[in-house]
Amino acid sequence: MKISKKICLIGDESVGKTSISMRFADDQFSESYKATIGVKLFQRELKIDETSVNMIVWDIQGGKELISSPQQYYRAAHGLIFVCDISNPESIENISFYQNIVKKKYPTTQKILLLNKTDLINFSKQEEQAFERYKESFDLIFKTSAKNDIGITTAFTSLASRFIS
Amino acid sequence: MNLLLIEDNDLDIEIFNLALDQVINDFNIEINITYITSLIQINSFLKDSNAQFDVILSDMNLPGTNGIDVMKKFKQSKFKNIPYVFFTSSLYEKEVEVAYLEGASDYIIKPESFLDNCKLLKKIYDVYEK
Repeated sequence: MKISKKICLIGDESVGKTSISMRFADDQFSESYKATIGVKLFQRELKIDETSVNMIVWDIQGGKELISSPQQYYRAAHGLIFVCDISNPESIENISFYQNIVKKKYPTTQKILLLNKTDLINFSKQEEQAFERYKESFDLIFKTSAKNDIGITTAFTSLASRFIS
Repeated sequence: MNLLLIEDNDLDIEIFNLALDQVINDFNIEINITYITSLIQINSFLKDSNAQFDVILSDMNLPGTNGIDVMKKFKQSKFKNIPYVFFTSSLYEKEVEVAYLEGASDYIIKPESFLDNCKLLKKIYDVYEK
């Protein structure tokens, strides 16, 4: 069986959404930063048991504006991946803001949280604090590094598994 | 920055121009725009123009054609390496997927407010100005 799922990334600017998407879809990483305008699409097929899950990743412009607006980037999403940067306390704090909006607009959509940039040293305390803070509100939380390819495929595979379970 | 705008809607062009004036004044930056408003202009532009652009901004709904077909023409021309960004009022999931398969760089829904148009233009400048 083959299924296709729309996955949207949510989070502040420069938390690593595009890097995560690039790592997942193309196994690539770039040190240079280029902000996303609107949306970029990435795609990768995952095999879960006997099912091929075509994960279409919508890497949506970061920040509070688009998710708060009536624009329909997130419409009909099957999965929402929240992303914060463990070295950026504001991005961790803002996950609550995104959660509140999404809770009302997309109550039944699958949601996971990625604590990204774990390759950055000296932020293990913030990482643990973020994990403690959100462990009750997300079923799945992953510590990831797009740069060092840590946790990305595991996170997407876990999400894909939920679509067929 | 040199921007090519492919847009047939007079009102959208007017809003774009107003936002452009605002952004140029507020940030003291230079943005030069070339407009294409019809399929005839697209064909003659592809044939005759040697202009240099940093980015192409294109509507999806164009008279007598559609944005994807127009992008394909640009991607088969001397302008193939210029980032091609869709700037449209509608979002259909399949259309976005096709746009990326065919080589789009970004897909943007036109903002509703003037202020958001200004913010978007500045962002386009920040990302695509060389």
